[in-house]
Amino acid sequence: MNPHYSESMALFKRASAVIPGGIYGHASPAATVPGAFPYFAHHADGGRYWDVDGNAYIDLMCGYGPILLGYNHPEVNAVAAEVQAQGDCFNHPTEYTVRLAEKLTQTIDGADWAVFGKNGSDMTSWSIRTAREFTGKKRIAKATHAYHGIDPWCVPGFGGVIAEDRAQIDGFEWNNIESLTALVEQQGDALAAIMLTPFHHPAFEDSALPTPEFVTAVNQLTQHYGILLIIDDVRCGFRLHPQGSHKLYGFEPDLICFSKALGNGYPISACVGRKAIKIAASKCFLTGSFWNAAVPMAAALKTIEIAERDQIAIQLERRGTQLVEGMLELGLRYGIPLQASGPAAMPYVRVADDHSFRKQQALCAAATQNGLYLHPHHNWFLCAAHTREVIDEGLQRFEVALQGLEL
Amino acid sequence: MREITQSLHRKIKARLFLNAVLPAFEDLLHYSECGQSILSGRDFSLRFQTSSGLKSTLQFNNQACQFIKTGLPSSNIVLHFLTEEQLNNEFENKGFRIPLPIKGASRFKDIKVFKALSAELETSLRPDDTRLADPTFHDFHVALQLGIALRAVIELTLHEPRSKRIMAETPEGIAYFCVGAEGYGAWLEWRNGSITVGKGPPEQQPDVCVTFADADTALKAVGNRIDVMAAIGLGDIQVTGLIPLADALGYIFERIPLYIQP
Repeated sequence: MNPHYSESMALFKRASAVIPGGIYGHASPAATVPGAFPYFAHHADGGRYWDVDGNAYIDLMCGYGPILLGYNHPEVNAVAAEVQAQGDCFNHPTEYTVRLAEKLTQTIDGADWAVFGKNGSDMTSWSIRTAREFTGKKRIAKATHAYHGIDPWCVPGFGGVIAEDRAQIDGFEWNNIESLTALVEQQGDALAAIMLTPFHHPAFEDSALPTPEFVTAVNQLTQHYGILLIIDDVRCGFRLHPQGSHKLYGFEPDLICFSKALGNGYPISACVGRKAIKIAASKCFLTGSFWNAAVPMAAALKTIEIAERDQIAIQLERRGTQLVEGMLELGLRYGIPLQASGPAAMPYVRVADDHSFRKQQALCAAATQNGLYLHPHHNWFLCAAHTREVIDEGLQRFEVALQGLEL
Repeated sequence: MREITQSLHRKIKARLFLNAVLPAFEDLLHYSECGQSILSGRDFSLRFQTSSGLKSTLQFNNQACQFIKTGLPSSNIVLHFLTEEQLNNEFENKGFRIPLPIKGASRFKDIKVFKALSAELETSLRPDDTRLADPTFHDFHVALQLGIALRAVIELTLHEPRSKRIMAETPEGIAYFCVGAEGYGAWLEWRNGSITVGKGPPEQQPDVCVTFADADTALKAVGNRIDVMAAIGLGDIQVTGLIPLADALGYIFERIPLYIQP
């Protein structure tokens, strides 16, 4: 047992007795390198968190995206506390629901209305229902290996999924215009929607930005065939562009899904859409006991305000560029060629020519044990609390990891 | 989870018995003194076949057994099962199962030897605790079980719709499974739409290594009797390298008990 993580392991033993998997989902130890990464968090602040063993990390996962401004952000927490004092979960929504919907329609390019939930999956699954209602068609197309949540139509893994769950789901290859065109020409009359992430960010693969030609093809094909374009901005939203990631790349969506960064860690998701779809949207039942909760709505309002005020997307791009360039240079210096993909605010740096990811796992484990939390298989996230100084410190820790590595 | 017709289920089960379980006789004769004693120098071949065209052959020769994944035309004994269900009943020792001995019905001694070998294989697969306490037998038992499981994965990826779908989305590579640092080991290679297996470590570096802390963990994992994700977190199962390949193969291992319980 790695002595770094004795408390994590002790807690996990208890967990495995009463929780399937011990820890399930993306936080499962099986998703990183068991025994080489912490299992349980204790507290966080700014751009760092501490695990239950007291180890501190510069956190380049940010809770897998929700932390946009930094953990424990004073302005967001102050608003949340103020609203919490009045109450959070009622029989009805509060004015914060209305204010947030208004704010999103003012902020997001192409948004005329908004609905809210708790997680990205709530919105991606609801959005395909809305697309079906609006178009009267059944089929949904998505890029192969893209992640859109945990509902049966798209969940990764195999457990509990039956063929019928995927019977109306088609796949095409990201950035492959021929693949997409062939699919649309074959199924165009039956396709209700194409769902895309703004850039391709599958696990165990390099990220891939959309080519301008692919974006043009997507826009043209969807508009020509009357297919709705749904942009799943759950992972990227508010990190790449203040008006929605689609604005950065040129997509022209009909529906856009957000979550993660929207509330800086407070649980909330949203789907926004064009005016023409509003009536169809109103027919698609959606609800959840906690979906109208006031605190996350207030937190989201404050998060969006700060993101605009402080030009967070620009900051993250700068800090991400600093990080990536620094890592690539260090990799060369120590004879471990690295490759980077994805936008600077959400980079994925990995060991080059490493099909099995074994070297990447060793590198990220070493970095993590040196206080720089890096996920070996998933894109990373920067937040506003990753200042120039924090990134410099992170690169120093990365260098220590490289020095001690034998690959 | 069953999402296939009963007819297809029976057929897959029959394939598993013919192509995953029957080859275990090779290991029985290779490792088991008792098995060799039962065979006692007899040479004969025995073909199992069904009306639907499934065929596999065991050839006993020079105190060894060779499994042939087809029908050997010159088999001394041919046992014909009218249906897959009948064949499955024979292997499960239940229900109506008497095959038609369309050849070699008079080879009583060979048939008797085969029945005795079958009984020995069965007790080797389902031993009592006393027998399992013997370390040599324990290793043999583990090798038998894991060998059946590996071969069963091949059959499922070839013939079960769900397994075929899973592997179609799985990255290619070599997976090496082993028990402890120096225990049983075997590899599977997923490439160009098919799986090949081999004993021991592969010649090329594997893309993913799955190491079970002990044989008990390994058998429970392939038998879908353990929380694998928790075991990974606890370090009882270590997975390094191309995790999606191990994930997919692991899931297919867990489907074996839907058909057979070796």
